Amino acid sequence: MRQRLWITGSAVAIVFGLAALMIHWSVDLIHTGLGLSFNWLGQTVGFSWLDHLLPNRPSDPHAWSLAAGWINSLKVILFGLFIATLHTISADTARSSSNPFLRRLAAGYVALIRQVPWIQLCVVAVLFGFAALLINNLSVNLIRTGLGLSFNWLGQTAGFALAEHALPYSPSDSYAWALTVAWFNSLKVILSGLVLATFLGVSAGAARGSSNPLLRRLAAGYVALIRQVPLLLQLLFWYFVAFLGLPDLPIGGLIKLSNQGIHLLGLDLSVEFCAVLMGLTVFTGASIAEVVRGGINSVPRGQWEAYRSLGLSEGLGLRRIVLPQALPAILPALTSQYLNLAKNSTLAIAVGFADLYAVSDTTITQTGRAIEGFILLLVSFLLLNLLISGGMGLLNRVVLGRGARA
Amino acid sequence: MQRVDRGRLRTALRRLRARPLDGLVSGGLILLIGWVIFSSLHWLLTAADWSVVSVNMPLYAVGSYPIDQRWRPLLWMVLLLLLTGWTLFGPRRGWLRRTLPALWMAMVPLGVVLLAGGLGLMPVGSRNWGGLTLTLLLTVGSGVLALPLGVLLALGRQSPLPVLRYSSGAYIETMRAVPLIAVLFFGQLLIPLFLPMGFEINRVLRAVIAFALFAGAYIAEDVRGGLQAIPPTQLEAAAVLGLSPLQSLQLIVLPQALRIALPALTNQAVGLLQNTSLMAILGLVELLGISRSLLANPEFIGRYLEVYVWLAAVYWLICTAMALLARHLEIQLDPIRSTSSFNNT
Amino acid sequence: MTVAIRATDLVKSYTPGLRALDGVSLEVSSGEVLVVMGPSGSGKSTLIRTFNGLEVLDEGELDVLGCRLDADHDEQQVRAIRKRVGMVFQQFNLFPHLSIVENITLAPIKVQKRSKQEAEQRAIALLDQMGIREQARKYPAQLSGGQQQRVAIARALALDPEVMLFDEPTSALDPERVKEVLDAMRQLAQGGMTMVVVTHELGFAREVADRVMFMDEGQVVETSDPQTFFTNAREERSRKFLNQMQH
Ligand SMILES: Nc1ncnc2c1ncn2[C@@H]1O[C@H](COP(=O)(O)OP(=O)(O)OP(=O)(O)O)[C@@H](O)[C@H]1O
Ligand SMILES: [Mg+2]
Repeated sequence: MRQRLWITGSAVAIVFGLAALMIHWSVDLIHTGLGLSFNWLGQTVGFSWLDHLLPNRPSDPHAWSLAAGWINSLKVILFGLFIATLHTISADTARSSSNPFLRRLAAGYVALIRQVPWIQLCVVAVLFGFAALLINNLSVNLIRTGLGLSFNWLGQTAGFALAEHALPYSPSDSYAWALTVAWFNSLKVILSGLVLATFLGVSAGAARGSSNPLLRRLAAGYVALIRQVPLLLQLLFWYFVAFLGLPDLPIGGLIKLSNQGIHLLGLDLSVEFCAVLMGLTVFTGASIAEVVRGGINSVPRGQWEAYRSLGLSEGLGLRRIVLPQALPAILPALTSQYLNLAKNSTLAIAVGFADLYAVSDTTITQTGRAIEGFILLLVSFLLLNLLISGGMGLLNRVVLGRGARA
Repeated sequence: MQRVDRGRLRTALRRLRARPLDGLVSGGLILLIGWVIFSSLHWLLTAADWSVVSVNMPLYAVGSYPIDQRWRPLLWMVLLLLLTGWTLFGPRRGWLRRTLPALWMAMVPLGVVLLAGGLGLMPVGSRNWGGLTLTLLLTVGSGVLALPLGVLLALGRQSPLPVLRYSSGAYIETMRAVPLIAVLFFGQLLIPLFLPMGFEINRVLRAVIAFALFAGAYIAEDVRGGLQAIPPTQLEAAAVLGLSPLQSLQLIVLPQALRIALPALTNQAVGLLQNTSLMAILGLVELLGISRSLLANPEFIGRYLEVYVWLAAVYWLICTAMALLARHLEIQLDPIRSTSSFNNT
Repeated sequence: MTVAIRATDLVKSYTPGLRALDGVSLEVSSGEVLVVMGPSGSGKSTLIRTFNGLEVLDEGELDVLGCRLDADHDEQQVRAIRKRVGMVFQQFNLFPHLSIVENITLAPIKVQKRSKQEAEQRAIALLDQMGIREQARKYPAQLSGGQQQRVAIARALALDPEVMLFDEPTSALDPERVKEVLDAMRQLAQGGMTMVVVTHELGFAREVADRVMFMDEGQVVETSDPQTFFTNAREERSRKFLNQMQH
């Protein structure tokens, strides 16, 4: 017990001392920049410690201020050690004292100490201390820049145009409305991406297990190529090379291709939208193909032999026998691919598609409201994620329910 | 030789007759592949102009780093290559092996010092860092920071202390809900706001921190998968031998968990490297960023395809190499597979 | 003869109202071999796991080699005990990422701070004693169950424990592998080790045990010498159990 009392006391002292030292250090590193050099030690610090043993003025050099910081930390540590020792000795003497009251008091105290979840308390203290430090810095900086948190700017006129909007929008509308319109733009590209990527991914995944060697290799090559090249690069490729390079091609009356956009059965799609959609589909499709292949491999080989022996065709067997059994393994991984697609859709900014992130970016640049913008973006994405995982959860329940009944 | 070919042809023909759809698919694919090969060749032979790549090779490698100082980033990349080789083919046991993690961690400050200057080297601002060097620095730097962060978060999420469990869980889930580009963008804007007044760090470092904060959350989930795969009886066995909780974590739990998580961690590393390209949107001139500024140069206008093909090849090579290295490492770290190959020779 | 383990009125429940241990008292002298028997779920594992602090008591107190253990689980006391008490599990619980020698030398090096060389010499000697010296550089997954269990025994012995606890050490083994482990344990008992063994191996209990303790529903039903227990058990419950075991 003696050891424990002493260890606890000393640990607290040392942690506090080191924390103090760290703060000293970080404040002192202000003017250092990055490259290693010790010249700054001679420069004046421009501030002084409130608490100091060494005389301390803003005109002192960094080195002196640092030394004062060291001395302060040392003071805290020594004081802590002193208190810890004192506390240990007194508790210990009291426990073996001849006075029964004192003895019982000390025993009760020791028992109490043992009950306290020390580690948890320390963790809480450190976490809170860290958070407090961050928040303190934040508020200091906000006060300094005269910003402060507020959401009033949402009602102000946005002033920028959106090239693409599913809902009515004009530059005289508010920021809030611009963000809403952008949210729907994101939703549009995400949902169509989900459908197309699933289609491509399942086909490619199934093709990797096909009996046709050419098809199998082509699918494997697709996955190996696409997964090892950054999505952003692929998006730029689709935009600048594939879609902006489109010649004017009026294929029949229903489909029209040009580098201004694509006209498809009465649907007008912008080049930006097509590039983002294409990039997301091809990129996510490769990941989904891997997921599907993994799921198919998890179905016992006996099932193949079973449907073959029943005379079912390969395609039918795959669709009706193998895939349904692979679904429970596929769905969770598929969900995370869908979430990835949603998050990746924010790269649309690189090709100038007005999605949620792009509009947030513009808004923040115009208003300077970074923190509020981040909070809004976070909430929007939580909403999108909830939508996707909720839908997939429903699907999962339906699939699993069917499996359970069978 | 001819006999074999004829035999093959015959089986192929028989299959074609048995499954006409298969033949149709194959035929279509052959046409498609042929068309792709033909148009690529056509482009390569008639239209492609690779000067945008060949002339600018130094820019791709080191960005706009001062010409007489280029040996510094190049030296760093060579050291990185050597260390990779050492990890793969160096001794498998002994203290040299144990210094490897420290060496990898040392690569980051070493890279920063080599690039930034100081200690007698001419200072070079982070504005001038770029190209492959910057891509690698971002990857290695954030990887080295993110791994311990991820391990701590994973342990926190498994901890018996509710405070730790909930705060780690909240952090991980929040980070995994937001897109990376947002984390990077706000990292550039917000990290300075959270630092003490007057304390400034350059954009590369801000990017590294933002990447590490983001990747840490994903790594945490992979490590957690590894931790959950270890039966609790392993902890009991360690406790019974008198190992302290910290010792059993270090000697029993983490070695096993990390080994199980290795394939997933490799994917994260490859993803990290690819994701450094996002910094091009935020104005760093890493591999993709330098290409964008090259394409904006009137001299190379419209040479998108050449540049993108070249970049895709570079990224593909590095990522594939990383995946292969990781597989090699996996086999090497598996005691049984590595010793059996030992015994056989 | 000195007392190695003294248990007084141990109580332990996992779920409120259900007592896995319901007032168990016993004594084990040093050098003695105590075999614990009883039907599944009777609390044998729980009892033996309280002896080295793997389970925390609700009530009662334990004196293990002079160290006190009670409901107030003192981590330092527990670690002091664990260094002097070895334990062998049903499922071996070897560390799969360490070689056989590393499994055995880990604790001597890290806990007892012995030199690596000394620890390895001792490990080889122990493996020799267990008859599996040639397996030293292999990994657990490359060994048979019986060999793994003998490594587990060697690993526990490497810390030079004064008491050894065995929780059904042969239950996970193929029948033909049981003998090699029991032989190792018999040898250990002949060397004068204090042992508490949970086992259903009647032959082992008959030949090696100094006393046999029978448990049911968290209580000690009877404790006798093997001769009496196997031929003339006092309690009806013990006789019924023995009957089932023999058929
Ligand atoms: N970790 C646990 N959580 C909840 N209940 C438990 C736990 N471990 C044991 N029990 C319960 O405590 C009782 C005693 O279990 P114990 O494992 O000690 O029995 P045992 O005699 O070793 O049985 P067996 O011969 O099957 O190993 C049982 O009713 C069991 O269900
Ligand atoms: Mg048991």
